[in-house]
Amino acid sequence: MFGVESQNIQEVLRTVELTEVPLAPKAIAGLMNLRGQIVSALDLRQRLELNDRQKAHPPTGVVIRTVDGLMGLLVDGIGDVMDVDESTFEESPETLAPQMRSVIVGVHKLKGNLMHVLDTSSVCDLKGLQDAKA
Amino acid sequence: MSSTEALNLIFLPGVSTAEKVTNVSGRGVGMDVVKTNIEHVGGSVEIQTKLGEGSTFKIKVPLTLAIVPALVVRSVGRRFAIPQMNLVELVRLDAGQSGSGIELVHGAPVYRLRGRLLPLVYLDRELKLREEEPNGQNILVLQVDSRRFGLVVDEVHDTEEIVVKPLGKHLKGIRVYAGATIMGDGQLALILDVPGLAESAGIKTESPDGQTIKASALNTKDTVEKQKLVLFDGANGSRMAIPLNALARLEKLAGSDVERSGNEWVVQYRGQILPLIHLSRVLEVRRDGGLAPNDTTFPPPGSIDVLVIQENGRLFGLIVNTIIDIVEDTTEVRIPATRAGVLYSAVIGERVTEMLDVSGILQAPEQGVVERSKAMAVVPV
Repeated sequence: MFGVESQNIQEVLRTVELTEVPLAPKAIAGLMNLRGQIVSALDLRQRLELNDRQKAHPPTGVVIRTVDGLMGLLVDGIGDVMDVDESTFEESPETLAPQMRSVIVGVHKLKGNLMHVLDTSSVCDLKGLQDAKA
Repeated sequence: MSSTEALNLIFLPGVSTAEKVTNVSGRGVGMDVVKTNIEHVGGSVEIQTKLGEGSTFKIKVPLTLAIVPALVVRSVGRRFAIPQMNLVELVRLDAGQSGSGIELVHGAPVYRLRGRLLPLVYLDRELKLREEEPNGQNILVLQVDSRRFGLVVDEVHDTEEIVVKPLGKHLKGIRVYAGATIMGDGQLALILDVPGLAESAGIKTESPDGQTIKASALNTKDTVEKQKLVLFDGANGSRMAIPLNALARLEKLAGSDVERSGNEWVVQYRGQILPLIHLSRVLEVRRDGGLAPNDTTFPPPGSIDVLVIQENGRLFGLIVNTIIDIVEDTTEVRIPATRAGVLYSAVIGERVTEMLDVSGILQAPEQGVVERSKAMAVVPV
């Protein structure tokens, strides 16, 4: 379960139609047509080194604003918009894998759950990651 | 004057703060050229500056500049667009025999195109689209600087005017792509960068004898306008040419498809009836002043090379002996025509070549072609 600051989110897309880009970095799942604008789609599962999504569960798209323009994030699903405050926040532990440290800046300790706070500009920074689809 | 007005003085011709004039700067014309050219295409340029901090030049250019004609192709089901600028011609491989014509030079695939070997690049292999052996039914002859190579794809669709949209920062660095475009049906297609594709496929773009393009630019021939010309053997070994932009298509048709309509030969072509003109007959007629004996057998055996020309909205096919090549050359060195049906003779591709008078040939009253087609409803291709 991850959290992204809502003011960075432009919109949510229930269905995502992607055009794959051969030779693109593995995390880039493809390009989408957002009302005439071409937006890259970053698969969050790939970026966060999680298991691949099951084919039966198509992703939801979250369009975020970054310094380099719009970026689409492919996620499993979205939950609520909630207000969280400092009191529940704690920084990521040292045991967190180093390449994830800049991406997951910390967690909010919610009831029964930990919400991993994502830094969107780090998420969109693919420098240094393994290049090109196999 | 306001600070904006003062800054805009930079754009006036002759305004320079340089103490010395060199051969590349100092005359005060650079910024004027920049502003004129940008405004010429409908854009604007603006300067913001702060003493001691820096300057920003904002150039705004309308999006319509980024429309290019491109050919849409498909490889492994995916669509790609190839800018027309790099495209020289299309070659279709015989269905069911896509191996024919493709030879291997110690493992490197080449295609014999009119006697010259064309190195082949398989799009599905370059983009790693297919796991099995690379494949394709069509070859796009592409040109980068002076080098040509063939790009093999599965299907060739239409030529379209496409809007070039840049790719995002993660994809900008992939040199085989020049951008992306949204097709008429809302689907995305990637635009291939032909020089990038050549580079990644290992095609060197210098001229074969090792000279770079810079060296050949010293050749005075280049300062005169060159045009693309189609070279062919019109009849009985007569070397002729027509401008490439006068040509609609180059076709190799089966002789057995040629039919007769009265005294004329025609062929069913892309939904219309295409009148065929035998160039050898026409050129012979003009010289003698009378009809040459019809010694051309019907139906013609084997296949025939046809130049499909569009004149006044109608299509005609000129049957020639063989198509030699497509070259880019000047027609500077020339002499007036020595026979009717020809505009002049010029040195093209280092040999004396006759420039065919296309309009003259098509209006030949003996053919009667122009009169008859007035009665037909012709659907432009």
